[in-house]
This record gives sequence, structure tokens and C-alpha cells, in this order.
Amino acid sequence: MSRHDAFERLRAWDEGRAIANGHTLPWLRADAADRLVLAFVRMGGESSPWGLCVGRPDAPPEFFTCAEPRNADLHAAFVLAAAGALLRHVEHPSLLADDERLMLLAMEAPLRARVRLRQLWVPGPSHLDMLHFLDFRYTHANTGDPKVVRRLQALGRVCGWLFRESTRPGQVRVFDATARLRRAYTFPAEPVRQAHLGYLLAWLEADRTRDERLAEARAREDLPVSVTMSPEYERATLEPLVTRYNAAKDDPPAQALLAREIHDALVPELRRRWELTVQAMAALDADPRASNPHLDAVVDLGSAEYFHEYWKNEAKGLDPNLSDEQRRYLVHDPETDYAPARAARRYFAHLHAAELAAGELVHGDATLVEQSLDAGNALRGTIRAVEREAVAGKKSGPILWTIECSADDSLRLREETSVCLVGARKRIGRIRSLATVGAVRTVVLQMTDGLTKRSLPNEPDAADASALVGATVTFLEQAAAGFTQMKIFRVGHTDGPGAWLTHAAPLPEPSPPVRIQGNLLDLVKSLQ
Amino acid sequence: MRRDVRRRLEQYASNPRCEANVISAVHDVPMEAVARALGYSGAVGQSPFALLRGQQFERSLFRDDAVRLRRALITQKVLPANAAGFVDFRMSRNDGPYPNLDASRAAFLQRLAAFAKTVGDARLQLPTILAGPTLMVPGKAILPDGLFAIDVLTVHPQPRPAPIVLRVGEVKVYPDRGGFTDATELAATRAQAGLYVHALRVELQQSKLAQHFAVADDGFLVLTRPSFNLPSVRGAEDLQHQAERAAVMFDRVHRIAERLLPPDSAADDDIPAQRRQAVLDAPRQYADGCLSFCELAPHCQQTALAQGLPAALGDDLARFLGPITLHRALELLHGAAAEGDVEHDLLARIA
Repeated sequence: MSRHDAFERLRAWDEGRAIANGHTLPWLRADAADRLVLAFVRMGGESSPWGLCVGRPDAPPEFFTCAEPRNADLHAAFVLAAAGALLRHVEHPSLLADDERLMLLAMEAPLRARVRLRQLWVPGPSHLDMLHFLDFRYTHANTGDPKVVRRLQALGRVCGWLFRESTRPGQVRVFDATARLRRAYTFPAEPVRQAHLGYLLAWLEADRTRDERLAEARAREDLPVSVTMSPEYERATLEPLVTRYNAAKDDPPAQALLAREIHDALVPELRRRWELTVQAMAALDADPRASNPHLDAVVDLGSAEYFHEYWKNEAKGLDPNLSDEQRRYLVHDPETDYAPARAARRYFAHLHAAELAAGELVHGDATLVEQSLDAGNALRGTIRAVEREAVAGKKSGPILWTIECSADDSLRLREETSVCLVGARKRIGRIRSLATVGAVRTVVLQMTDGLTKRSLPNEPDAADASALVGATVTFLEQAAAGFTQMKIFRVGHTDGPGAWLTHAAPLPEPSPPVRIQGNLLDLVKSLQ
Repeated sequence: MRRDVRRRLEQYASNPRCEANVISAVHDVPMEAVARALGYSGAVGQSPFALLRGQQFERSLFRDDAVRLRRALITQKVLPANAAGFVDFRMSRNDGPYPNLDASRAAFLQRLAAFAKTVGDARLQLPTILAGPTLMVPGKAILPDGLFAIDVLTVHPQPRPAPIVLRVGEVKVYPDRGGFTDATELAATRAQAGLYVHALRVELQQSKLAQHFAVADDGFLVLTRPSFNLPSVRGAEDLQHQAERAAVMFDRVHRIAERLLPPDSAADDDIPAQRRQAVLDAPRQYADGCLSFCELAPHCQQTALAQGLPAALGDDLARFLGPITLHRALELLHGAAAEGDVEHDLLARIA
């Protein structure tokens, strides 16, 4: 637990309410048209959804359920009905005309601009897991009408991509409402209790005392918001219906009526989860804090990931001339990367995303700067001297800044580290020396970039001693996200460092492609 | 017996630092009854669908001489490719042949004794999968009888004089999603399996069979494949540390078991007030994890808040504040003068 976390939680308890984390929010607000809210419920013990609720936050949602989720055909029919909403949200290429699809494949910019702010909101992490389970279940579906199977596979792939995207650091595409609230606020409660979305929202209620909020939070906590419903509700309401449904297998009209009753019993459960998510979204939208002004690079990276990791492969996969084998290589398997190099590539992609988000956002939020100072990744002090170093044979030597800091501040930065100025990030220096005498730490920086008013119109020249001496400045370690980005590409090389690891091992044999079979009997025969 | 020992062992392992929890588990005083007596709505309960799924999954593993489980164990190299043989020690209510745990345990020990005597080819052809063998908690520390069945054991015979290796397996119905598998669930499952490793070692010792058998430090977990009713085996799970932890834990259980409580009632749902009171009177140690298993957790959290115990706002805050109460920490935040090294240290850390 960091000093910041402990202090803030104590402060939140003292004030009896959730308190804001940071000066900005690390995501952009989007229009309702760019947002989709999705919530699931599942049958206890099962890993696939029993029902889902989906829709824009400004309109009534749609409910999709299945009377008996353990029946594979019924389950496939139910998710197939719901697939359209998700596929439309991600602009699935099969929904576009051929010429438009080919144009977007050739010129990615228009598509990336179109989906730049698309957001998927879910109530909590267990709902994200449902996306992963749908990926497991349908990405390799292979039994049934080929047209239906292709759509189910497309649903499996989009769920898989959205789940993977949700794990990429700093991403602003898939929103776990619970995690976003915890990111935006500090709540006066145990971390384990903060996994409940309703509990968190109660702490955001205005004009209440601490005791009132606490009582409300405890009351809301009794109603489940994860994908699992209350065992009591399952036992008392759903189990008798499902038992009667299964018993009426020879009576289709009776089954239809029971299916309706099961649907009606699931709808309130789904609605509550969906509405809580919309409330969380509204609470975050209403927050007076602005979005971090340095989000552009993060959002751009998100749209690039969307195009290269998802849409491009989907569009290529629609080419009717591709063989099954060729098409298979466009699909991300839910269980494995197959090739070590591919796994390494994704590792570096995540590392790059984390470095980029951390490096960019810190410049837009004073709290993040303070946290960097606490962590020793930044230095703050007063400029005591600005001078040009004399270099023999040269008209002017490098500009040196001498900065005095408190020796009590933690500092992980070392000599030769590049640092940039908070508030004017183009102004970059390299730590030439660090010396501590008594309570004073003296840092000498050799300024390397952003030296003139031409590059930084609002700042004095780096050599302007009269304007700079006496000023308090904060320098942050300069983000080096570019190096990791290079590694994303280099890890694919067969002769670079680490190739002994990523390329020497024999690749696992992929299982032979299984052709789509119209019915289960044919599939079994083909496997014999 | 009101509730099965295995479940109470899980309850115990969930928070062994809380003496009330330990008494409840050891002396079979359901926490639900204690909570209900205080006016809290009781049971956390389990989904009927989940219970059914768990039973079906376990039955499917052991059906047809455990062919499905064997295939998965061979694939994951827990068993060699030529492994064969299956012995069922489960109770009849779980599709096994034995009427109760006593009969299952007697049959298991008898079979182990027979295994120990085998030589030559017969030794190398011992059955490799044992389903539901029953063990006794060391020293009957979990009352009343300390009997519980573990899910599965694999047998790895070696030529004499090397001992026959037994490997503990734990079956769970939650899905195995590789690196995304629920870490908390995995940790709890490993803790449970480690506890069985220790109990099996003690059982072998007490049955004077220890020189013929070695219980492997590693075990295996049998989970489900996501969205399918098929097993996914995680082999080579290191359980050494968990087994050592269980040994320490049982020492404490012995001490608690020696405490005398008023006799239990014959009726399942009738818990004598004095037994409930013994749980309530015991020192309690609220922790984050209590929420997931203990019906008394809301009461403990409220009590902890009233007393200003930092654990009421999280285990991490309790570690951060140490012996300083929430009330005192707030006073310090509002500018009260620090007294003593601990408070000065806290102020230095949050300054």
C-alpha cells in the first residue's frame, strides 16, 4: 500500500464519502452513440452466460436469454440473436459493403477516426470474463449451418478481442465500471468490498452523512452485481422453472410459456446490473474534473490496436478466395499464442501501452506528478544557476542548470538519466551529476532539447539565467516508450537477441482445421 | 455430524487467525447459526445449479474406470502413458461402493497395506487412480470424528526398495483459463491440496505404512475446460509450502479441540446457546477474506469499525497503521501531537 493510498483512504473515511483521485480522468467522455453497455448473468457453476442485456445508455436496452443454457443449440441461438449489437459496435467488416470494406482496408485512417471513441461498458470484472468464455465457446464453433457458424465464430472473435483489449494497460475502449470508479475515487472501504458496483455508487451519493452512506452501501451490497445471481433466487425462482422446462420437453407450447417465465425472471437481474453500469457512467461523466489533456496518444494507440489486432484480420478473413488454412492464421486462439515470438510481441505491446500511458498522462495531472515524486521517479527543486559550460575550441558549450532539492526526497534517478520538464515536456535534460551535502541535494542537468523560445514559445530560453534562477521546477524521467515499440517488431526477427528463446523451440503443431459440419453425426464420422 | 469435515477444514483454512472461526470449524458450531442469533440473515449458500454441475463433473471423471480423468492425467504427464487400474473409495451417495466414511477409510488402509506387500510385476501394475479415499484429520482434531474424503490420489509404483509414490489431486469445477484463471480460487485450491498432503503423511505414519509410501511434494489440480464439461489438469503443482503450513495449522487446531464445549444437540438446526456463545466470546480477527465465507463477517466488520480497528477498512490499512487505531490516526491527521515512536513514524510516512 502506498503512502498515497493509505492517506487517501483515511481521508475518505474522515470525510465520510468517496474522494476524487487525481486532478483529471484518464479517459475521454463519449457520446451515447459511441457507447454500448453490456451486462450478463450466468447459471451457477456454468461458465457461459444465461442472459445478457445490451444497449446504448440513452435508450432502453435489449434483453436476450436462454431457457436452458446447458443446451448447446439453445445457447447458440440466444447468443446469435445478441451478436448483432456487438458486431455493429465494432464495425464488423461483414456489415459493410464490399467496396467500403476494401477502401477501409487500404486506408485505415477513416475507420480509425470512426471508432476512435467507441466504448464498451460492463458492470465489473466477472462480466469481462464472460467475454472470454464466449471466445472459448464460439471462436472455434464448427457444427451447424455454415452461415450461422460463421456468425457465431465472428461473435467469439469479437468477444475475445474485447477481452484481450480490456487487459491492455491504459486502454480506453473497454470499461469495467467498477474498476473505473475505483480509479477515479478513493472509497472508505476495504478493497475487497469495493468489488461491488452498487456499494461504490452509494458512497458517491450527495448530501448524506457517513453513516447514511455506509448504511446505504451495505443495503445495496446485498443485491449481487456480478454475473452470478443469488443462490436463494436461483433456488426459489429459477430452479423450479428450469426443472419444469426440462420436464416439458415433449410439450413445445408449455416449454415456450416456461421459457417466457424464465426470461421474465432473468430480466430484472439483468436490468439492475445494466442500470448500475449506466449510473456509474453518468456519475463519472458528471464529475467536474476534465479528461487528461494528454490522452491523444493513448487513444490513437487504442485505435491502431483495434485496426491491426482485430478489424484488419476480420476483413481479410472475408475474402472468399482464402483457404481454411489461410483463414485460420487470421484467428487469435483463446487458449494459446502458438508461437513464442507472437507471445513476446504481445508482451512488448502491453509494455509499450503501459509506458506510453504513464509517460503521457503524468504531464496532464498534478496528482500523478506528486506520485512520481513520491516514487522517486521525479525531482523538484529550485534553479540556483544557469550557465554555459566552456568548451575549448567551441563558441558556446552546453547549457547547465544547477538545481537544489531536498535531500529527504526519495530519488531513483541516476546520472545520465534523461528527464523532461513538467509543463514543458519538450524541454529535456540529462542528469550530469548528483551530490548531497547535508540536507541539500544538488543536481546538475545538461539541457539537451527544447532550448529556445521557438520550440517552447511560453517558456524563457533555457540559457536565460535572469528568468530562470530562483524558479521552482519539476523534472520527470523521460518516458522511453519508443524503445519497447521497436522491440515489438524486432522480436519477430530470427537473428536478433532472444531469438534462441523465441525461435529455437519447435513450434507446437496446430490441430488440423476442422471443416464446418452441417450436423453432429457428420462431424463425428469425419473424426473417425 | 452436522456438516462435513472437509468443508469445515476449508472454513478453518480461510481465516486460521480468528479464534471464533477456529472454534466454529473445530467444534462444529455453524457460523450461520451464530449470525442468525445476532439478527443477521444467515446463509451465504450455494447455487443449486452449481452443486449439480459439480456432482456431474466429478461423476463424469470417474465413470468407466475414470477413463476421462486418466486421459487428461496422461496428457499432462501426471501419469505415464501405460497407466491403468482404478479403485473407488467413494461413498454410495457419490456413486461409490461404501456406505460411510469409516468403511471407506478401512478399505483404503487395507488396500494400502496390500500395495505395500506387492513385489515384482505385481507392484509395477498397481492401480494408478484412487477415487475418494478417506483420511482422518491428525489427532481427530476436527470434531467429532475428523474423517474426510479427498478427491483423488494417483499411485506411482517403483521397484523395491523404493517407496510407492502417492500424489494428491484436487477436483474443482471452476474453469481453467490459463493465466487468467482466478488467482484467489487457485490459491485456495492449492492450500486445500497441501492440507491433504500433510494429512495423508500423518495417516501413513499412524498406520505404520510410512516406510512403504512417499507422498509427493507436488500434486495436481483437476479443473474444467471453459464452456465444456471436460477436465483440464494442472500438473506439477508445488504443495510443499502448503503442507508445511497445514502442519503448523493443525498444531493450533489441537489446542482449540482440547477446549471443552457444552454437548451438541441431536437436532441439526438446534444449536445450544452456550455453544453459540463460546464462538461469540472467542477473540475475533476480522480480515478482508471473511466476507467471502463467514456469515458473521458483517457483525465483525461493524464491531471492528466501532473499536477503530484499521482492519475494518482493509488488511492493507491494518498493516500500514499497525497498532494505531482509526480514531487515533484521524486525530493525528487533524494535527494532534504524536506520542511515541510508532506515531512519529506514521506521521513521517504520511507527511
